[in-house]
Amino acid sequence: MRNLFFLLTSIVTLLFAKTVYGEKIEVHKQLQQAIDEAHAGDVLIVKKGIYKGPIIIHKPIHLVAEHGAVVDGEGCEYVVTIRAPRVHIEGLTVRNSAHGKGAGVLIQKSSHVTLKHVRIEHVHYGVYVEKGTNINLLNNVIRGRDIHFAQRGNGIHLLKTNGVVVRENHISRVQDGIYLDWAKHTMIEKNEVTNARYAIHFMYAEDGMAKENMLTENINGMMMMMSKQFTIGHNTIAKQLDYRGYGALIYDSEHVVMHNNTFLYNSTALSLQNARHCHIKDNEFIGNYRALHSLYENPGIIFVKNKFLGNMEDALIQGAPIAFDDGRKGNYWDNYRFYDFNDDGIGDTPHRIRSMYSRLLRKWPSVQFYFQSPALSLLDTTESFFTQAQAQGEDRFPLMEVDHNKNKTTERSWKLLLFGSILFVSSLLMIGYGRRMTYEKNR
Amino acid sequence: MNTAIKYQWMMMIRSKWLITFAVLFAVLSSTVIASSGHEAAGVFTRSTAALLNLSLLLVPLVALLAGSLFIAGEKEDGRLSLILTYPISTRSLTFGLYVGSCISLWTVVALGYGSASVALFVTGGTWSTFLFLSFVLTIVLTSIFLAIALFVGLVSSNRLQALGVSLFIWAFFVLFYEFIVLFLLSIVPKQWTIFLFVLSIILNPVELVRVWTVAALKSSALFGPQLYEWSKWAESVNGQFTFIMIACVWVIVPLFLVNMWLKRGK
Repeated sequence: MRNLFFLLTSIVTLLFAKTVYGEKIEVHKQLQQAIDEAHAGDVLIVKKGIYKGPIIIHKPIHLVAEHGAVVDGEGCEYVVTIRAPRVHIEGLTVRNSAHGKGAGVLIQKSSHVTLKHVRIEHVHYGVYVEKGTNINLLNNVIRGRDIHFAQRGNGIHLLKTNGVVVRENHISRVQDGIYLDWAKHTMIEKNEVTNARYAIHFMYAEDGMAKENMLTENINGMMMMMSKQFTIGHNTIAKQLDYRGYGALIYDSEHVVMHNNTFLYNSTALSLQNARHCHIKDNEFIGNYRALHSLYENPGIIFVKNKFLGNMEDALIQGAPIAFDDGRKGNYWDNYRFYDFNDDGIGDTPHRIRSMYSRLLRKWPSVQFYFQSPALSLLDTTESFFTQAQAQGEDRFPLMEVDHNKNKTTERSWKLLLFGSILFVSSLLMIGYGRRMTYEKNR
Repeated sequence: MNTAIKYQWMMMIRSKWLITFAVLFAVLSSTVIASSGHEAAGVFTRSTAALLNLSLLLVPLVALLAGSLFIAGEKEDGRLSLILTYPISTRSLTFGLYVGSCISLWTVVALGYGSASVALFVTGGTWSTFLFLSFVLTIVLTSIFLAIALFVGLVSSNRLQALGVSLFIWAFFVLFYEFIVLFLLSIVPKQWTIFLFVLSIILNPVELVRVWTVAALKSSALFGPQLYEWSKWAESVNGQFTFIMIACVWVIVPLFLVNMWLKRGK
């Protein structure tokens, strides 16, 4: 009897649990209706098909979309709105928010929300998070409209958030890729942002980390304004080639650590404008038009062990002078022209950061047209041997060696060998043929 | 094959001087690219500038010297008068002389770029569009300066005169020109800046190729905010087409003059 009672109780409990928590429901049409009818904790399997937006999620549920499940906003302001905690959306495609306003996904005053493998297209803002905590945005693809960036919204916009993780997202064609507006404790990791105005824009943001992101072909890579306590490491910031373009600009911010980043081919790689107590170390500045730009005062800065390779101009210091060493070690400069006789890895004379070109440029902006032209570069080299031009700064402990291995590709470029050999062999054949022709004629 | 082309090619490639230069150019370009080429990529950087500058400095000099000294020599030795008696039209003679010289010098440039690429491969560098683009534009530069050189060679009465004129033209185009333009910029009103720059590109093939390379690599942000609009145009299809047109004019005009000169000589 007792056993039967237990059996009945457990069956009733199981049935009850099934209807209240974690039921799997397949959705074929009327997504909003299915959400409204679902219970907290249910998993809605969204089948392939096009669902009409807007969709509002006001209870903790999981939406797991099959491939080809699309929510089409048809120009409504917010295509998907989340106003409940513990919502999890996976694999859904969200598209067509209004022009000039609205967003693909709006997360409002929620916590523990996860968006994973969500594809957001043709929207004004991609994901707009307002006052959210513990939000995870993982592996999403956000692609805005093909219009001028001034008319687009941001890819991921975090307004007054706390504890947001933005990881492995691909963001393109937006105004700002990831915008942190009064956001705290944000982790930005392994994202790719391209074709935006600013790839990552920090505004009054506090305490966070940006690492291993790939920011290419934007107007600015990172724009940090009035923010503090950030660690920016191992990012690749490349091809911000617009004439206003900065790889990273730190403006009126403090306690920022930038380490092991690679700045490749930017118009200006790093600009410090009233950056206080920042550590800039172990970064690589390669092939930028101007590697470092400093304006106003940048007090308490530590700038060491950075590598300057093949930049057109290494530094332009327009405000207070910057210390390019910490009293023991400095940076590596590819145009340092002296030796290390005592073999301690540090050059025997200080490196003076200067170029006649940058001096001319300031007086005479048109000279920019002759950047690295044959005549001007000849003059610059000649001048460096004879005069002690006014330096932009001095590194008292220039490093002698650079660790090239980090960026060296192990792959051999066979295309290069093919190109080289074709030219080489055919030119030798031509010379040989030309000379043999002569011989036959003489005979 | 056109007899004149064959003759010209044969005679020029036989020149020890040209072969010496070919080796020198190959060694220099390999050294430059192997020492700094690792940063060479699809955009204009200081390493790409180094290789481009090598071409911009040396190629016009060699094209001018090789072309003009050779023709002046032919003229001095009387071989040119002999050729003029052959039953071929002036037009095909001009064409032959030009194409023959071109083939020889293109070979030299190809040897240089070929060995530079192999050197880059050996030192672990990677392929970049710059290499190909720079090669093609150096070929264009060679062709333009050879056309000028033929004319210089024809109008000079002897080798020495040809040498002097060639050196002067080279120094003017490569060394002094930029400073002259900069001087002019300082005295003309500011709104003329772009006009002056454009004119300076049209009037100097070295500048043409330099700006063309930067624009073709979509790196004209390099020229600064003042020339922003213009650089966008230079990077566009229209801009590139205009560059090609200007290059054609630089080849056709000297050759036309050469043709006239030869006709008069006949």
